[in-house]
Amino acid sequence: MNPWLVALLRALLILLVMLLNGAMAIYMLRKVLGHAHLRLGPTELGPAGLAQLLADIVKLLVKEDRHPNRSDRWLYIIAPFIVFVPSFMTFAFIPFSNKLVAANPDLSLLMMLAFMSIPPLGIFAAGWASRSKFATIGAVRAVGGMITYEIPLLLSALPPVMLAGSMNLQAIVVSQSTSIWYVLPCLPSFIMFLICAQMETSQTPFDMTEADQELVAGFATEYSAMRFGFMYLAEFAENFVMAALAVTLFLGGWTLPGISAAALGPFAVLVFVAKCYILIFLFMMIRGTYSRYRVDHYMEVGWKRLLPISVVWIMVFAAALRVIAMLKGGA
Amino acid sequence: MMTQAPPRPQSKWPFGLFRAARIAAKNLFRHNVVIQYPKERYNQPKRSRWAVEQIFADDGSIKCTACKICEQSCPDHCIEIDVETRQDKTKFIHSWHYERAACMMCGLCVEACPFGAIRMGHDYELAHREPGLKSIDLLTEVEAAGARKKEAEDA
Amino acid sequence: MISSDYITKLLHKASVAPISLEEEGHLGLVLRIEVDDLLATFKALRSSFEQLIDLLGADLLERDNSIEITYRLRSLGENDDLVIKVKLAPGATLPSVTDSYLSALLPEREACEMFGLKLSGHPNPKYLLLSEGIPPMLLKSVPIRSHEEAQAAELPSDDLSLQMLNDLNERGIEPPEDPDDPLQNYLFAGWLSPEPPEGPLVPRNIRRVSDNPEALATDHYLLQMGPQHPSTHGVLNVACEMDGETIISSEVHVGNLHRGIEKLAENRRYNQLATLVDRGDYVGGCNTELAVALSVEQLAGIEVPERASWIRVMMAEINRLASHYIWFGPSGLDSGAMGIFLFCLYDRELWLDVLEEITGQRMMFNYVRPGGVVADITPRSIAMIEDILKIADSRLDEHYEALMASEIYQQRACGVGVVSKEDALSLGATGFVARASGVDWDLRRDRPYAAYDKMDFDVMVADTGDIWARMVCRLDEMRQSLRIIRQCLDGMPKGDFTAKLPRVLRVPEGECYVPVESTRGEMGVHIYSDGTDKPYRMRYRPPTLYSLMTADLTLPGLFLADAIVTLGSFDFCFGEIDR
Repeated sequence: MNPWLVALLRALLILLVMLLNGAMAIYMLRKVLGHAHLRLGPTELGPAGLAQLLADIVKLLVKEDRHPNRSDRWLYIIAPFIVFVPSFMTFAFIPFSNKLVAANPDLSLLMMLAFMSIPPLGIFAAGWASRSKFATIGAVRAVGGMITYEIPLLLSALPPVMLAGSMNLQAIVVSQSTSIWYVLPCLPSFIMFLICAQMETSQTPFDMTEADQELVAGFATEYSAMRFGFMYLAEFAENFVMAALAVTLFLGGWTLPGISAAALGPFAVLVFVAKCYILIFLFMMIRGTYSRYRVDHYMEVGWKRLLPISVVWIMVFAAALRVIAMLKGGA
Repeated sequence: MMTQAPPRPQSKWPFGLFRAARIAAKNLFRHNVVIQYPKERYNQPKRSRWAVEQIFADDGSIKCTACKICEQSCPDHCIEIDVETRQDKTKFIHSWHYERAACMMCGLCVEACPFGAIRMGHDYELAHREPGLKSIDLLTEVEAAGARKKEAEDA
Repeated sequence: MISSDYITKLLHKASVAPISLEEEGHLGLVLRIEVDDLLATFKALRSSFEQLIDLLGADLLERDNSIEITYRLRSLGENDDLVIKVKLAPGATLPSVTDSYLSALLPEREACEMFGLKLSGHPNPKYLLLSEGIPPMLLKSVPIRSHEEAQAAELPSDDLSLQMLNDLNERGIEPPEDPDDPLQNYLFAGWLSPEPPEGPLVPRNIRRVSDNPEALATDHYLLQMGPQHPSTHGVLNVACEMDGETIISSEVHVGNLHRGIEKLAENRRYNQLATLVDRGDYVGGCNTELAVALSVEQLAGIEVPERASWIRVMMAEINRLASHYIWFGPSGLDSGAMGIFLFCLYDRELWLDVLEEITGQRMMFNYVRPGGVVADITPRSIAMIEDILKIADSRLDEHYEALMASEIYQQRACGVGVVSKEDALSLGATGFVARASGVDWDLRRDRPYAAYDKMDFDVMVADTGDIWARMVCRLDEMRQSLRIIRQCLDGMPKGDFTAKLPRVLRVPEGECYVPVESTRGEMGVHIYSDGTDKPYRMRYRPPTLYSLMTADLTLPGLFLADAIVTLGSFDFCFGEIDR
């Protein structure tokens, strides 16, 4: 088949996955937060409220698309796409199963992290272009926060790479099926990765960029209708991507211990998605429980605690690996 | 008796976070406290105060004597009674007008009524689209109750 | 007790000759002085009286062609109040006493705007509640009109903004040139000082560029944490001058919820006052109704049966719990924790069910009246309370764990928004704000009213004055409320629930002020009565107006995020502040 057509079909499939995931994640968020808070979440539309999301999407589509008078019109329109498109692109590298991965270059982890660093620029553009004071404060916080926490994110993704010996995500998953899940030897990395993931996706306790109680909606204050819908969807997509990356790097991806890839067959996708959603559930429970950090506190946590700890841990880990290799080689 | 506030907690990471997480998990498994309105309705206590209603006896008779004490006791002048006193001192109520949308449901009219002719109803679903329901007449063109008593005496 | 000799000595040292100093009716010791002696008197009395509790005006033009301003000073050590009264000619200038007591900042503005007086010596002499173009509302010459009358009457001009511009022109103030410039267009109307303003009416201390030459040359900007904001509790507008995320200076603007409760009260009978006052502190209605009832009872000499007093105490404490729950939840929500909000609201629902069972409504109770209460408590309500008391204490522990045990919240709350003891006293803060800063004062214990002298409860005092201290003090207040409710249930005497009063209560002439410890501090109602069935003047002393002034003091220097949590911790209720 025409390789361009194949690529286009893959892209459309990924878009479908992203949208389905967005739908599922939004519904799950409302239900999880509801039940955690002694209430029920949506129940009216559709069985158990499943059609609520459809109603929300229709509402967002038919809402009036206002823009503030003095906003930078071109940047205001472009910004949601800067946020949305890279998040969509990162879906291409996630290994859903043995054969289901849209793009599998050698450095897929590096490319994925590179693409994930673009949405913060889009968020900044959105806040800046709105020319509203609350949006500007949100945008400035976003720049500070997200860029701070990207460094520990990358550094905590390195120990699994050291163990697997490759930056290819599929290779990391496969090597976890032969040894143990990397969460056990790299537990500090796992915890740091989760903290940075919460930051990158603007979840409490790290949701300074869109602190609802302080800045009305942070960078998205002046956005309405489907533009807001885009950014919202991008946030949930990134949620899934972060969870997927954590599962891939630390929790064995689509493999289960003791069962070979052939035996799993098509269930690998279900295993993977189930693991992702367990992590997303954990994120949501944390979101509904804790207070949020103040700006200077979380910059302090990012620069003064996470960064040194991640650097030191990499050094310790690499040294330990070397020592173990020497002992094995020697003996 | 004065007690001194306890000293600030010496926070030990991350045990405080675990305590909060424990409460969150506890509440996750508690039964929800939702009343699914409109399928379920809330049971109102007897004293619940909503819109004012006239009390009609089984035969449709009223107790209102049009003494206008309720009209005087309403702080916002929501009640307006248009009554005609005839030659033989009997009263005929043309309209017992009630600004239901302006009423704050304080219950002062019901407290003031010496004949127990009105009560605070339990109907709280008062939102409406038709403009005519904003201010309504609870009674129209009826004999006031005292008048009826006089008729019975005459007969 | 402060004796009149002591005061005479102090005044003599300041060479002030009072008009009179004697006990007057229900008010206690009243000092009447001339306007010119006002500042000297306050300076002389400053060291003996720590707090200026309230400041109110009254229109006595019919009696002696004067407007009477009443000040109430309090000495916490001696547990005594001194009332100072000055009489001013209509349209005269009131000298501001903010040099002696900072708590006069907002009430003076309100008193002057409501009675058409001018204000001199005040750092910010602007209208507080009204806007430009509205006549001084509390003068008897300004009538209360019905909706139909107001619509039928001819307005001076259809366009209120045009009228505002006309008023500015008359005063020689230039209207703004650039309507888009937020600093110039800041047409905060109403100027009270006899001297015209020096520049455009912008929030005080707003400057454009940092004075520090070493600092990064960033502009300061004006951020309106405006009346529509998810987290300023009620319609609070704080105009902040910000440098990045830090607040440099701030100014609160209130008056968006002003409904003229004090003016309407002059047209209501005494048993209808509860409906008005309910809408002041709308979550703690029973306490405010109690204040009105106590004042009226003292004026009219009504004896309240014992059972009624006990029921009032129980209802006041249930109301205190309900109010504190709706404060604790959103206080956590301000800092980001969503869960605590709903857990607290669930507990509040349990108490609201009890309140509905007893009074008939969940919020605007209209239950406590002069003479007693409207109806007795029901056996079903006693059973409901017993059920709640079984679980309430452990649930309070859970709320503590959910919000305050987590170190993230402790980092947000400890050491933030500190109010020192001197500031709390000089700004007139009462209730938990003062107790969190180290002032050991609780009206239920120190000036017992209703049946509080028979109750056994503790009062927690902290000495740090930060957000954490306020949270802890209030959490303890909730526990003590549970204790008091338990004692009320156990020891409720039998008897009548109300005294027998005529349908239309006529109260003999006089003035009275009886404060209660409402949910937010000291709330009192100062009633002037002229012998008819309607009060001549009702003044509602809102505790949160003074908390607002205290909060305004803590904002400069805080981050925006801290400001939100700090403002939430003071528990504002705009029904009270704006009345």
